[in-house]
Amino acid sequence: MPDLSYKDVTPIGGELGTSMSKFCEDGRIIAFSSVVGDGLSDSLEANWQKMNRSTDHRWIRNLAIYDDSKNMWRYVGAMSRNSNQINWFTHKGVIQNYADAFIGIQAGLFCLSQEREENEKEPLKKVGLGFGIPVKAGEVVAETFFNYIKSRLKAEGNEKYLYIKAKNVATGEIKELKIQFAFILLQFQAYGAYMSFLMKKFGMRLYNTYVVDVGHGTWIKLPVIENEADINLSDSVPEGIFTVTSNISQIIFESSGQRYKIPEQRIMEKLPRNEYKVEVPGSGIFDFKNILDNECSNLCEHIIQAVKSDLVSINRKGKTIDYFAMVGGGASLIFDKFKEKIRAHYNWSEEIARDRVISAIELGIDHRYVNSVGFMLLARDQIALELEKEVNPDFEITNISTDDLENFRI
Amino acid sequence: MMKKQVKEAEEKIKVPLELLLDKETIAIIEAQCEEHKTGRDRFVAVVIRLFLDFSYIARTVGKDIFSFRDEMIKAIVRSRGAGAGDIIDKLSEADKQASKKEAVKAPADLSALKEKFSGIINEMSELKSAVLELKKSLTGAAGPVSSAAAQENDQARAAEKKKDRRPQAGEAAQESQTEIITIDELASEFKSSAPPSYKDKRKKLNKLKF
Repeated sequence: MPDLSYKDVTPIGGELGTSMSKFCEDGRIIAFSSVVGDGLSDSLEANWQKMNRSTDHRWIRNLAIYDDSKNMWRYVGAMSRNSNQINWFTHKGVIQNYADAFIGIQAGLFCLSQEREENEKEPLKKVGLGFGIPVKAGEVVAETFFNYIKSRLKAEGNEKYLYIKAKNVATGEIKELKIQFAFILLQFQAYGAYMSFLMKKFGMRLYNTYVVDVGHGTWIKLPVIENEADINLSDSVPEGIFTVTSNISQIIFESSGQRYKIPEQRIMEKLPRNEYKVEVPGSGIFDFKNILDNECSNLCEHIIQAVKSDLVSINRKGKTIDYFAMVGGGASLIFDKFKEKIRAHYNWSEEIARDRVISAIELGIDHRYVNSVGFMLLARDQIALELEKEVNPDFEITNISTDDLENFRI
Repeated sequence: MMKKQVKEAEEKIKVPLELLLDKETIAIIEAQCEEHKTGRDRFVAVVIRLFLDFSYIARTVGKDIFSFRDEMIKAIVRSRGAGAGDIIDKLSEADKQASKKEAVKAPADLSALKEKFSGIINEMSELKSAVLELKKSLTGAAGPVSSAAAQENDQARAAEKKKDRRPQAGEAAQESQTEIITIDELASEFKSSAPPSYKDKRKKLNKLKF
């Protein structure tokens, strides 16, 4: 019998990445820095509002969430630039603090709802959340996190609600939102990417897929064999694009006679623009393209060693991998090298490698957002199952909002 | 004309094999006939049929039969991943030994190798149907047609295929551009020939319900 109580549930996908948290609803994605910080005092905040000359007054850029466990406002994402004390949601692949991670979920749902309202849609009312957790968190932590979320929801009759009180610090506007939770489904982070490939590229056919998610602070490996994540082989390694950029920063520091340290953030900012030159005061212009290439090759080599070792274990079980997928913010730097290494390992031709080593670009999604899309699809599938219907595998991302500064004018 | 050709062929058949083939080839034929408990005529007929079948597939993918065979074996072995390395080694070893004509393989090795080859031959026969399936889908992808027209086209294609299966000597490959399938496309099919459908496997996961 179909459970018709799921008829009005909106599927949401989300993940708390090491640098960015992403949430997806239908064709809409929001992404903000995975960081939360204490709010300013009322008087300091009032002063900040008066002195703030930014014209970017979007909620996602200026967001504070009321933390009722601490009875105080917490700044989320970009707004935490004004906090004295900041906490990252995850570190080295592990959730740092459940209360902070819960704020992250509240912020994600609030921003998605706000985006709906700005597009003349009703705010979110009832959701089913497919949520990615860091691989190292494991099943025990997942259970504990489940229970923590449950303890923070408020019961009304037989139903549980999430109350969100949010403030746009730039404008001072405060909004309250009440969202009914139908379910939360936790899965390993990179499983989201697998779901996206399954529904869009694989045509709902089950291909064994080895997913590598190269993030800012960590890279994750997750072999999915016959639709199940191979937990024994999955791992989160504390090495990512941050390692690459901080090594470049260190090399520049050494080559400038230890006089000048370029923050890794400045190097990071240049990568999406394909800029590889940075000015080092007193030493002139430093071109780090070759160093970047070497650092990426080193990172790729570490990944490949782990992949090869896992392939031996997988083959011993009599299984083979049909597809190798690389996703995550680092994929744009590493993917070509990864594909070449896999190609060389199997002695595949270019054509076979192109077919079997895949990235999120093939799905028309940025590498960074493919997991959140996949978790939305996972939630959608679970709702369809409850309603005893076929799942709709289609998706098209039409809007992405981040907490990066927009309309920068002084 | 036809009668004359048949007569000529019959006369050729009467020529003893010894006059047409070298001793080594004759020894192979004899050994195979012994192994398969069949006569020379039956064996040669089967070999020719197989040659024509594989020649047809090779031509379809734009390769000659020998490079098709080599690439096919490599593709099959590699599609099985790193664990297949020893198979490649054994095949290379066997190849070397055969070319050097140094030693005759021990019966145990031969049967193990034969076992591996029989798997490959199975995959090859799967491949053959995959080729036909792919050809069909490529031709079908040209545009939507009504079911009656589609049936008619299928029949016409079947007749065409039948004609193609026994090409005349010296006949040039005249495949249309859309029907040419590369060896890599075929090899990529080996990632999993029949993956199960997610629709059959999807299940309710352990959700925290409220």
